[in-house]
Amino acid sequence: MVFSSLLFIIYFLPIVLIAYYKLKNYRNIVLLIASLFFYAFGEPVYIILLLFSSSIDFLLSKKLGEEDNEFKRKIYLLVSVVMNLGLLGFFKYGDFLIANVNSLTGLSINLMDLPLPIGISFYSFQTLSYTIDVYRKRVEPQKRYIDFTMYVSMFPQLIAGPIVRYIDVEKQIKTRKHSLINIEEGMKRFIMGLSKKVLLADQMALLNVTLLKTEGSVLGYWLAIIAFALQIYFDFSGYSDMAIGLGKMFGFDLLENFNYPYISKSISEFWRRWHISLGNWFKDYLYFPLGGSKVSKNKVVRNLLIVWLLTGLWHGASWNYILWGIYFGFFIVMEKTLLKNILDKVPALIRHIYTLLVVLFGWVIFSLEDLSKQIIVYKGMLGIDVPLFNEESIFYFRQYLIILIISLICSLPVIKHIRVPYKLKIALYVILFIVTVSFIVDSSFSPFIYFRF
Amino acid sequence: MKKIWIALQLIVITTTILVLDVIAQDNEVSDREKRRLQMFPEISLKGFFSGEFANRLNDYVEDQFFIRDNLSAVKSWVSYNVFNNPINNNIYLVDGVMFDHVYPIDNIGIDNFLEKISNMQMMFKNTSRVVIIPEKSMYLGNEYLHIEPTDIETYFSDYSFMYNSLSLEDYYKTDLHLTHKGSYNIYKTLVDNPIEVDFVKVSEDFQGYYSNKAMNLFIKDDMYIASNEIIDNLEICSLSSNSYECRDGVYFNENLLIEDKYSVYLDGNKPITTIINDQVEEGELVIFSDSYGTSIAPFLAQHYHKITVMDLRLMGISYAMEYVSSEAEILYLYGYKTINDSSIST
Repeated sequence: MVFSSLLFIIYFLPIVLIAYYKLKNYRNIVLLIASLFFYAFGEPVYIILLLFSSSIDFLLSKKLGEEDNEFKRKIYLLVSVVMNLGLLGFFKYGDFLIANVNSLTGLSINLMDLPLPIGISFYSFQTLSYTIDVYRKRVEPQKRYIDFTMYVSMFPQLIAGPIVRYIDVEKQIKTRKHSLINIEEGMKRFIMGLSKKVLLADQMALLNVTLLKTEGSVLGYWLAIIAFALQIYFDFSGYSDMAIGLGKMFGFDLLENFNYPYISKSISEFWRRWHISLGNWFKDYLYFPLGGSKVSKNKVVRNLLIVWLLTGLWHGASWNYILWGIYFGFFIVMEKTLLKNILDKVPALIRHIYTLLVVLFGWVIFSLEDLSKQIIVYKGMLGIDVPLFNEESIFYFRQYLIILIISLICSLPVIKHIRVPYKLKIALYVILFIVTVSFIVDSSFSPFIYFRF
Repeated sequence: MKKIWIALQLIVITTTILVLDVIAQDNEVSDREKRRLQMFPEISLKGFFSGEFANRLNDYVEDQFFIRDNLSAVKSWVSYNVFNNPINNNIYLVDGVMFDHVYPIDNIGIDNFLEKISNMQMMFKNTSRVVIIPEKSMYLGNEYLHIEPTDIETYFSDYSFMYNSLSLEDYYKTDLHLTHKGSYNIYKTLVDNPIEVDFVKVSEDFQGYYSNKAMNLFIKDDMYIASNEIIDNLEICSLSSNSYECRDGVYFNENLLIEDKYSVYLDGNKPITTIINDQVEEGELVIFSDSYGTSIAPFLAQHYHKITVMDLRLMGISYAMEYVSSEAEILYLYGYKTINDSSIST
């Protein structure tokens, strides 16, 4: 089930909210059942995998909490790490590995063609962080299986994050504040996220796809990549907004996942503002254990490149994601070494332009799996063998101008500074909700021309 | 009072929608979309574990949403007026006229069409003529992306490409088709001695295919039928359930009461429709056509004893062969959109 569907908005969410607030003593059970239903709706079979993985982690962490023998504790942790990464590796990277072995060796091992379990990248990292934190004695192991499974499967963040670490919601799992004000805040945030996804991201996706199909021009290629940059931002941050909003409705305070990344003045800053929960996860569970920046310069470079290689790989089982990770790793290493003094001296505007250019060129790698297509787009953006503009690029620019302007404004911290009287706010949110739902409804509207034509 | 009005309003709105949607009766068919709607899916373990139940339930909720059409209209209004996007659901709305965004040129589709026509001309050695009705969007201004007629004229150099014989006013504002007056203008170019007709307005609220697609329900068209002594006395027979049904008159005014008003002409698209003109003793014409043919055929019927209109999207070519006698003239008449979509034959 997806948040941007009528089934979720009109049926699932209201029914779950009513059950949740009616059955005061069973709130975690209601959330657990709702979450399992939510998950089963998209992946009925893989629910077994989700329950298996969380059950093993629950048992291992319990053992970790009881055990004093350091060797045994390490074994428990190792089993958890191997299981979580093993499942993730098998389902997400299995075919990628086989395909590469085949192409390198000339073998023809059959691909498994297994569908990727929804949310596995997110819940694997969540449960991993939990067992590691129990091992490090930063948190007490959860004693109630229902509470733990509810934490792992909680539907607001199950499918696309943010990666909620157990340590951040440990207390809220047991006791959390419920109020109409929280519900109001949650609903506002959910509507903002939903409208970002439906009104902006989906429109930008259309512009990107349309432009990449047309005859190329410099304007067209730049527009296509800017559209993709806005699409992925509103898609992902919109989903995070919806997750945070839903969390609030159920009394949880989930951490922010985006903080206006496109205003950044360096790549390091961009990654402190983009997918914050993933960055923090890699920092705490990989970068720091590797020594972080408190080691020799060479080792810092090594650590950064490992982290960014794996960050790229986390995004998908394809070479373009690995390349994308290394690409950012390269710029972050450069910013910590050669570019450090230069960036400190140049005006903020130049730093901002530099960051946007690096990010936009990076989205080309991210969005196009095929290297030859990436080269075509790069050449187009640089004006090699294509006109500056053509009839199509001008038309699509004009067609999407208003929505492009709205998207650009919404990607900057502008609106949050505008003070709106509460009465007007009520009307605006209700209108935004209706308009967003109208776009969702219309996306399934498919007149059948055959009858008439 | 604490600031909780947004939550209260949304709770009231969603709860009301939920209750009304549950109460609302399900429809099997959507008149606007002209398709079957998803009904509540069968509950089974197999369906649940395969994910089929979930997909169908999702479709069911979307298809049967009780204010679906109203919300589509809201989306349309926002797209055109707030986002200032000239296109909604692929339909341009320019100065109160709707156009399909047919773009770019589909060279494969055109080649496919030309090959099919060529094959048919080889198959039927009869005297024939090929007429191409330009896509309405070709009359759009330069600021709107569309196929330029000059870019495709060369493909149709052996045929009658009617761009210069028509103007935007010859098309319905809300539909892809020619008005009956527009069809009359085509007819005038096809015969040597066109016969005068009177046009009778039969509807002021025709909302064509584009209205439904763009969900703009404010713009309406007038609809006309033609009348003179010959047309009023034509007889029509069409194939229905493997038997011919005949009646007097080529206009089906009763269809003005249904959603598909355009079927007033020859009762809409049928695999085979025959028009008999007893006032002319000889002459036979076979029209292979898409839906443009139903509006033009009544005018041409004045000059032949028998006209057979065939829609190859609804029947096989082998079946059509039985209806083409060696004496008949043949008119291949297609709209450019059909060609660009390469959907001349099923």
